[in-house]
Amino acid sequence: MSKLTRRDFLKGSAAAGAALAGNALPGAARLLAQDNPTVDYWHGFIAEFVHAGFEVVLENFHQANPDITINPLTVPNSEFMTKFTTSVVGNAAPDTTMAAPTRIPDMVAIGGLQDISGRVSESGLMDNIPADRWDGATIDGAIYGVPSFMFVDWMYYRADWFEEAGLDPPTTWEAFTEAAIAMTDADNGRYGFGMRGGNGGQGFVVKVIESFGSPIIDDMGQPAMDFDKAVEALRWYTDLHTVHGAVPPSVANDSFRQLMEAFQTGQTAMLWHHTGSLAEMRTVLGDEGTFSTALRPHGPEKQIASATPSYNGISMPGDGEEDASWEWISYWADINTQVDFLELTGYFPSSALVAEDERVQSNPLYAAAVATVDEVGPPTRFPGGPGWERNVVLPNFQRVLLGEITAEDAIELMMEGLEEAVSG
Amino acid sequence: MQLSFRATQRLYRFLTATVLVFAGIFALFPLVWTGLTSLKLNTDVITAEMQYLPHNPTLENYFELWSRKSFVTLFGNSVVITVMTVSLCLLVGTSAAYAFSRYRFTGRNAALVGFLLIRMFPMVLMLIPLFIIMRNLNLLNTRIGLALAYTTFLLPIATWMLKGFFDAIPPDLEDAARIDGATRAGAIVRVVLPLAAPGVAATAVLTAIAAWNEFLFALMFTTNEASQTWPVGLHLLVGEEFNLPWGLLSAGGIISILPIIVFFVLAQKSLVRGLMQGAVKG
Repeated sequence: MSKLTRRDFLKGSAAAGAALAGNALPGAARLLAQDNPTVDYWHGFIAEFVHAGFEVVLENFHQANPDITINPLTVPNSEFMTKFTTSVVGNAAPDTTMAAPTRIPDMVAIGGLQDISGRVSESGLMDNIPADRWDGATIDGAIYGVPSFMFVDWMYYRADWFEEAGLDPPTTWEAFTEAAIAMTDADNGRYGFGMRGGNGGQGFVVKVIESFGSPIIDDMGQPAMDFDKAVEALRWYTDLHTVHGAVPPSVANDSFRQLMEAFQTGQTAMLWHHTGSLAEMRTVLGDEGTFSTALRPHGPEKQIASATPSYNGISMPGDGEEDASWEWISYWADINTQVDFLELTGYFPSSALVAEDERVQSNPLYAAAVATVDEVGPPTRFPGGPGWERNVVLPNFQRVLLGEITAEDAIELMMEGLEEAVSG
Repeated sequence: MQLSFRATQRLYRFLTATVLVFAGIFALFPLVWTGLTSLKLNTDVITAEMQYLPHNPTLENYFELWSRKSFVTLFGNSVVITVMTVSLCLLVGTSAAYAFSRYRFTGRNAALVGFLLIRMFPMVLMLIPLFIIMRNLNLLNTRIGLALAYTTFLLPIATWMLKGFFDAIPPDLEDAARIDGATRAGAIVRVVLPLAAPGVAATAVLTAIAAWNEFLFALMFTTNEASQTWPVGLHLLVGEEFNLPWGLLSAGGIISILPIIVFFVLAQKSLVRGLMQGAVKG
């Protein structure tokens, strides 16, 4: 018999440990999974009121499916893709995950989302969720996510101020200008419109340009901006500050928080955002008529708005957890789940049945969103688009606000940048 | 007009004091502002007019943080992981630094440069390989796993710092101890380490600060809330864009820096001596 060396002993121990860790435990887990599957779910419900809504959905799901346990993990939005990519490459991705439409192409490309077209077509979910709401999760005809809720663009306005001034919320871009000017009293620190000129303002600029009849790209994905219409749009938008003085002077630095707090503290009369901020607005300003919601105004061609669905997809379910994973993500498409979530968070249902729901019909705050989703689709998306908006549209928009360049100069630079972004 | 020597000295002193006062205000204002915000209710934070001092000072934000069920877990995880990381870095770093300082062996310079090279890579590049290693070793979601991950990027800097301190201690002192009958290990423990104590303290403080504040690895290598650390938990507790409770966030920030301040105060004397010792070595 040969002598057992220390090296042999260590090798043997490592092999035994690996066998235990790699085989015995998963074997036991598999048995458990078949009877009482546990579904991991990564999400971005961080804000307290949104998390509270999520807890209600979890509880309701558990009552409806007592055999399935959901194991949720909150992942900060800014680090989501890093964590998700690492987990997919490390073969440890969650069973299910929330997925933003801008990220789905990348998530699919790394093999992080499963094609669920078959399950979707068998489920009948497409009967209640309009076809264009699946687009953000559809790649080459395959569906990778179920629409769970939507961020629907709308406008908040100070209902008490408008009533005092005898004005109705504006529905067109001309009326919007008039209302913004009428509501401005700069000497008393009050402005008609909280314009987003800081981070995130680029999306508004793109929507304004489109509402004036200038597309960004054509059906072939090629640059298609109309110079004259885009200039007219940008000039109208920036004139609200540079000519009419109807927005706070800090506009070039104003992002979401500054705008929300300016509106909530009575410094601005109108604010463009989406349904996702409704819960905070209600918490701060109450439901006594201080504020209300309205459709965003129409430009000459179309409304300055879009509706962006968020999706839930199946990533890497363990053995015996595929069906449970589907149960979980399809549960989010149920109208009752969606309206429960809406009531607590303001996150708008993706189901078309929302318009018939009594809770939605009876709340006038929701009317603007119901009307908007009938009229608008998802925002324009194309490869290179987010970078172009962030690095070209926003800084040149800010330069116009600061009086450094004209609207013509800015659009010219945006069109040049678009050519580069599209050509890659 | 020519100033007298004394007047010139006074002018220099005045200018120096002015610059230092402004630098002090510049450095301390964010901290003071955070502290004041932590004592305000949200209604005092979000106002049309700037309010520097809280109208109704309250500790409510601190109590609310404390009442969160995950607070103790998050804080406890961070304390344990920081202590483990510092211990690992000091234990391994001291041995490595002593060897680099005292021995001349093949590959010594290459190894030293290799240590530095590791620091030159962005941490995010190490994520995937480390993740795979930790997953295969079942170290995900464990405190020791995170401590080992932190050690990968903190050990090189600890080793380099400690080497500087060991270099500053004359080998003759060890030789004298050896002649008196001490073993190599005995000379290290009885002679070298006591002399290098300020440097070891300085290294411990810097390592602890880095481990305490680390966010990326802590987020990537944990997949349940029970194993998360304070920086990750704080990020998740206070929300993102749609709901940002400034008071709670500020209270969390103040709590985050308290352990480091306490540690720093305790080790201050050694730390300053250690930093100066390392700086004038040779």
